[in-house]
Amino acid sequence: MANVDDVVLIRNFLDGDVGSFNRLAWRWQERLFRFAYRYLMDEEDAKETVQAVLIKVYKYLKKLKDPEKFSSWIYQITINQCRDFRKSAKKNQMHPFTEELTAESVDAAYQSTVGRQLTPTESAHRKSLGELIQMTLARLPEEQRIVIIMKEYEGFKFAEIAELLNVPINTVKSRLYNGLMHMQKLLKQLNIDKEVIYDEL
Amino acid sequence: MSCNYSKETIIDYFYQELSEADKQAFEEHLPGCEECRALLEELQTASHSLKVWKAPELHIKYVFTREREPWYSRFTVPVFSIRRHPVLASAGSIAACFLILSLVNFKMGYNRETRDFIISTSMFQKPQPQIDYTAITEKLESVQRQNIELMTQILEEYDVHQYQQTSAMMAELVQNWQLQRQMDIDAISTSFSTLQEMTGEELNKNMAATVQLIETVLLPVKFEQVKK
Repeated sequence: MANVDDVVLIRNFLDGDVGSFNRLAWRWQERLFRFAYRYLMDEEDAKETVQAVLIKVYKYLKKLKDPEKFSSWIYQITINQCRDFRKSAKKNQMHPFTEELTAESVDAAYQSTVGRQLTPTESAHRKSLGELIQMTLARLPEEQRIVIIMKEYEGFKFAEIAELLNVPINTVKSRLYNGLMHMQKLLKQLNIDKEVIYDEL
Repeated sequence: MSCNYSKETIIDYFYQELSEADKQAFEEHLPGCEECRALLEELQTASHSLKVWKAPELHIKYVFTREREPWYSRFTVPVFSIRRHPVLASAGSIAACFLILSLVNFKMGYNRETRDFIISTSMFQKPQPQIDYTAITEKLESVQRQNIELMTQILEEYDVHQYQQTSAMMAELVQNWQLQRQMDIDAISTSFSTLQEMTGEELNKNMAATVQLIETVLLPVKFEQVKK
């Protein structure tokens, strides 16, 4: 998983070249940002998290014994950072999806604005489909959501997810299965079916 | 689930993480199992739906710069940098300070009574009090004079005392001698008178004895010799 370029950049940085660290950060910032965004579902929070992660990497990279393991190490940091962020956000009641979003409540709000009953297609499109998917994902339990993000968006193998989350591999699989099935049910409730999705894609 | 395949296998198949043999077996099973196909369909829908949600682009670049050099880094000695050898560098600078101060005005001492180690430094020397040497010499001389006077006085006193003591003893001695002579004279006179008294009788006795001796012993011998 570790990239040869990463290893070279890490070695150069540890030899005192800050430019190498910047190149390393640029290689990773998009990936980490997308991951953090999908976990936290807020652009600013994700930026803040990525920044915190990169600062931690900058500080503690010299403690990383094996540069080959950089990839899983940086994901480990990112996961922890996201979880910490979520915890503090929950404490401060800041996060957007602590408010209960349901298909009904959103539909009701939309209907009152438009002034008539929505057709199923309209209901699905009243927000962009992507936002609805995001909302649906947001309503899954954290343990299922993180597995879905790591598998679907980051393309990790099950073994890697198991190692990063420190859970048995079969737990990862069943969480992913349950998560996707749960997702499917919620989509059905929102009248989003296969056709709507394929249209969008 | 009515068929033998667990959800773990289905999910493995869905994400193409089944081994080749397991995959083949599952694919053979699939056409005959509606339930598995339905589940895969649902997974497919959910998985596809996730692709719809796009993450925004990150329009910034995080840039790290070298930490700003701390202020003391300007004062590093070429040989030792404070950051790399903090102990050596600080020890060296302390030593350098001591050297400089010792060049200016550096005093160090040890008080034996209080057992204090004293280090004093100052940029300017303290004005020293002027010493009046003539006064000191005068004082010294007067003390010396006093001492000499005292010593002569002592010696004189001692002489007088000794003379007095000796004369008293001499007088006593003379007295004793006179007494002794008187006693000697007395003793001699008495012994003379007793001797005088004794001698008359003794002489008579002796004379008689001598005559007797001569008559009895000496005279016959002489006569015989004459005769011969």
